[in-house]
Amino acid sequence: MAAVARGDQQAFAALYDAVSGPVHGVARAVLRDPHHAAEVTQEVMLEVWRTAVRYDRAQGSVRTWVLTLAHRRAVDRVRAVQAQRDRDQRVLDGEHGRPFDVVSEEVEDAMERTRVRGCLGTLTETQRDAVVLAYYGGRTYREVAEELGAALPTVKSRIRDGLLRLRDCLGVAA
Amino acid sequence: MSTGPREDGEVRDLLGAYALDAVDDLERRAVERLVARDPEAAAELAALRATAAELGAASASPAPADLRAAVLAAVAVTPQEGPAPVAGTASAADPRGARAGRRPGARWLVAAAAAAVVALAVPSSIAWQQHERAVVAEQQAARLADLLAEPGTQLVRADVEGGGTAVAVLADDAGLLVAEGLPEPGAGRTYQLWAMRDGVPVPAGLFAPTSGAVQVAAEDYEPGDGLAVSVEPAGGSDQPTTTPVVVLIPG
Repeated sequence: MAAVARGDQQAFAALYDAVSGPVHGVARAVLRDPHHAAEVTQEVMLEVWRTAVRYDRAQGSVRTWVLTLAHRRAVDRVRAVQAQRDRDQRVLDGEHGRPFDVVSEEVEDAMERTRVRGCLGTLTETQRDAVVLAYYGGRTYREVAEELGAALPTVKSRIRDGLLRLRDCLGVAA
Repeated sequence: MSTGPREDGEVRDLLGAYALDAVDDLERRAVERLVARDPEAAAELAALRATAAELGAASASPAPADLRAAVLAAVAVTPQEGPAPVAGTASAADPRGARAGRRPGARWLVAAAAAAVVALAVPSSIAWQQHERAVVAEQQAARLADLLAEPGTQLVRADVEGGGTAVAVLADDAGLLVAEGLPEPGAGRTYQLWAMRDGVPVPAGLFAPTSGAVQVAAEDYEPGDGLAVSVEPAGGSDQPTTTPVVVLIPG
């Protein structure tokens, strides 16, 4: 990563090979549109190149840093698409109005055979719903609360407690 | 503004939602302030983010194959933030040597021929190291990335006479000049861009670099055109009145 920050394009190519799959996966999971997902992947990788000096080891791994950027960009895109849709007052297929169980099933398919799926299973159902909707559905916790018919403070804690439990199960080091 | 324990507690409850990008702008700033002054909250956030990244990594799927080349090509012409890297090695195909000592009239042709030698098949590697701190607006980067992603786009790179480096991004519907390290054109003078159409320079706009850097689209452009730059009197010229500082012709 230090080499990338110094402008080493070969090092960047190696980084691309290491993280573009996860970045694209995040973009696809959140955006559910191949075109948007490819664009966001490209934007994220260029952002990684441009802002490589901002990466701070103390705050976590390179992969965590890149995937944090990726999720933020994907969510921004989903919300921009949503805002556009509201302005246009037309209904686009896919994107946002999907029933919750569809999101959930697609995510489960993608995560089959991974320990993450196993660990999601250790969450309470309400924690799991909140985490999955927020992360893969790109919802704000307010939207999650509305969708699940739960109070705001409850949803906040479900997300936080759910993530902490997931962390313990996965043995994630910060 | 109060930041008592009660408020801190409420903000701390948002750490999970923040790690999932599920908060609004006000809440985001509140969390960032908390994390900046509270190491414990910062540690929790780091753990939550790493956990969220695991969720992301679990859904990995290979990016489209053609994206890699487009991204690497874009990277080759995209400046980075931060400390300047060591200057790149000199190009073996520096057209300056070829131009030296020729009559001004012949230089356009010679320069064009030299530029053609360094024409690169898209999107092979371009050794264009950044020489100075520069940040290109994201919109420009996006525009560039779009052009680079088009199948027929060609890149032509050359050093600029007098200093700097230029890359022509030649797509079907647009020709873009991206340059860096350009000197000031001088009092009462301007840089002028030309579309090189069948060896004839066609006026394509004036430009002024910012800190030596510029990204500008040719105002007049047809597929197959190359690009060239000359220094002209303020207001521009109908025909070049000086030797071009760089000529970029597609291969």
